[in-house]
Amino acid sequence: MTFEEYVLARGPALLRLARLLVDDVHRADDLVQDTLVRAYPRWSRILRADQPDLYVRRILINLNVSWWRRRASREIPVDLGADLRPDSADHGPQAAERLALWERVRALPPRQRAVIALRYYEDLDDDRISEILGCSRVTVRTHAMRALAAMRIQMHDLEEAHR
Amino acid sequence: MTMDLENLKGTLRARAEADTDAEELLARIGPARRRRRARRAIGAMAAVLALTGLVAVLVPRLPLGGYAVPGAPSAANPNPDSAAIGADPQTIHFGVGRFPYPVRTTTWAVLDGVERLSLWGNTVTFDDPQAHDDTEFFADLTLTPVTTSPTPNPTALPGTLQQPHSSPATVGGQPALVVTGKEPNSTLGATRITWQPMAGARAELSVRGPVPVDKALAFAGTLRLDVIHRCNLLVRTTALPDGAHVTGCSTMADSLRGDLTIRGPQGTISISVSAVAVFDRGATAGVGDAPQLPTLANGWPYEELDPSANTQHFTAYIRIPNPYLVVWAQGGFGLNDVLLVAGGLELSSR
Repeated sequence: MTFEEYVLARGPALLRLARLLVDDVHRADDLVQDTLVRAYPRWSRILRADQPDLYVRRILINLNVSWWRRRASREIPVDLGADLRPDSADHGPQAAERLALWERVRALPPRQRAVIALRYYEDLDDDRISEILGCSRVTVRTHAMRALAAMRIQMHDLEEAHR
Repeated sequence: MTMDLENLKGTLRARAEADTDAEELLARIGPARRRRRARRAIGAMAAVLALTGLVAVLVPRLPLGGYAVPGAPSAANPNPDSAAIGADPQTIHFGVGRFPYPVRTTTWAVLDGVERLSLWGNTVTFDDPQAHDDTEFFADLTLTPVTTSPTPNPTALPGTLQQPHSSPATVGGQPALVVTGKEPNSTLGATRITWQPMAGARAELSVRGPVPVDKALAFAGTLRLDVIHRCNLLVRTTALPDGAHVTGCSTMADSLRGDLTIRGPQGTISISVSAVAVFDRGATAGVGDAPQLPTLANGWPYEELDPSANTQHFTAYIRIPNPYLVVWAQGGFGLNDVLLVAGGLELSSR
C-alpha cells in the first residue's frame, strides 16, 4: 500500500477520529495533516510493521496529547458549565442531550477522551486500543471506567442543576 | 438523566461524521510531497556539507551516549551576557548537549522574557509496541535573568509537587538545588533542578516522567551559553496595533511549525504556523481553497473562522491557506486588529 493509497482509504477515518479528540474542527484538520507529515518519512517502516492504522493512529493521539500539554500552560481555563445549558427553544430534546453529552466528553483528559473515542466510536476492543495507545489493557479499562464514571457523575450533577 | 452508552455513541457519530474529503487531504499534501522529493536530493548534499562542519565544531563538546536534541545552534555567542537573556523575543541564548532518551518533539521558544527548550518523548523507542504511558517524559529547560526569576526556596519548590524532597548538587561546577516529588493525582515523578550557570542568570530544568535524577543532572550539565538559537518563523510581522509588541516566538525543530505571540494593553494576538506549511510553503493555493476568499492587505486570501469554535475565548479567528497559518485574538483585540497584523505578515528568509 502506498502512502497515497493509505490517505485516500483511511484519511476520512483519521479526520473523524481527530474531530473527537479536539474541540475545534479546524484544529482537527491540522492534527491529521501533522500526523501525515510525521508518518510520511517513516512510511516504509510503518508498512513493514504491517499495521499502518495502529501506528498512524498512535501518532495522531500522541501528537494531540503533546499539543494539549504544550497549550495547557498558556490557555485560559474555561468554565465548561457555562456552555452546558441546552436551550430547548432552539434545539430538540435529543440535540440538547447530545450537546450536554459532548460537553462531558470535551471535559475529559486527552487519554480518557481517546479511549472513549476508540471504544465507542471506532468500536475497537481493549486489546486493540492498548496497542494504539501503547499502554496495557488494564490501563485502557481504567481510563474507560474513569471517563464513564466522570461523565455519569457530571451528568447527574447537571440534572440536579436543572431541577 | 443518566448517561446511556447508545446516546454517547450517537453523540460521537454526530460530532465525527461531517464531510471528509480524502482527495482534498491528499491534494493539499501531495504536490508538495513531490517537490519535497526533488528538493531532497539537492538538499541532502548541502545538508551533508553543512552537517560535517557543524559536527566538527560540536562533537568534541558532546558527552558520549544519549540522543541528539534537534535544532542546531544558529551562531556562536563568544561573550554571553545575562542582560540579553529574554530581551529579544526571537533569540534563545543557550544550547544543550544530548538527552538520555529519544526525543519525539523539540520546541525552542522565548515568551515574556523566559527562554525555553521543551522536550517530549518516551524512555523507550517510539516504535516499541511496549511503549507504555508510564515511559513518557516532559522536560523544560528555562533560562531567565535573576532579576525576573525568584530565588529558589527548597521548602516551597515546586509548589505543585507532593512529598517534595530537596537536596544540593553541582551542575557545571555551580551549586544547584534539586527538588524531587510526585505530581498530584499522578504516578509521574518530577525533578526540578535550579542553578546559576553564570552571574545574573538562572537556569531551571524541570522533568516530569521516569527520568532518574542523575540523568537529569547530567543533561543539565550540558547547558552551554556560547551559542544562540534564532527563533525563525516562516513569517514575520510588519504591522502591529498601537502599543503592542512581539513578546514571544516558538519553533518546533525539524518542522516549520511555530508560533508568534503579540501582546498589548488590550490583550493578545497569536500567529500559529501549521505543519501543512512544511509542504505548502511557496505553493499556489491548494485544491480546497475557495477562489472567492477575501484578501488581506498583503494580498493573501483568508477565511474568517468561528471564534467560538473552541474553548479559549477567542475574539477573532482567521485562517490563511497559503502560507498555511491561523491568527487569533484574545482579550480586547478584535477582528480589525487580527486583519491588521495578518495583512502585514511577510514570508521571512529563514
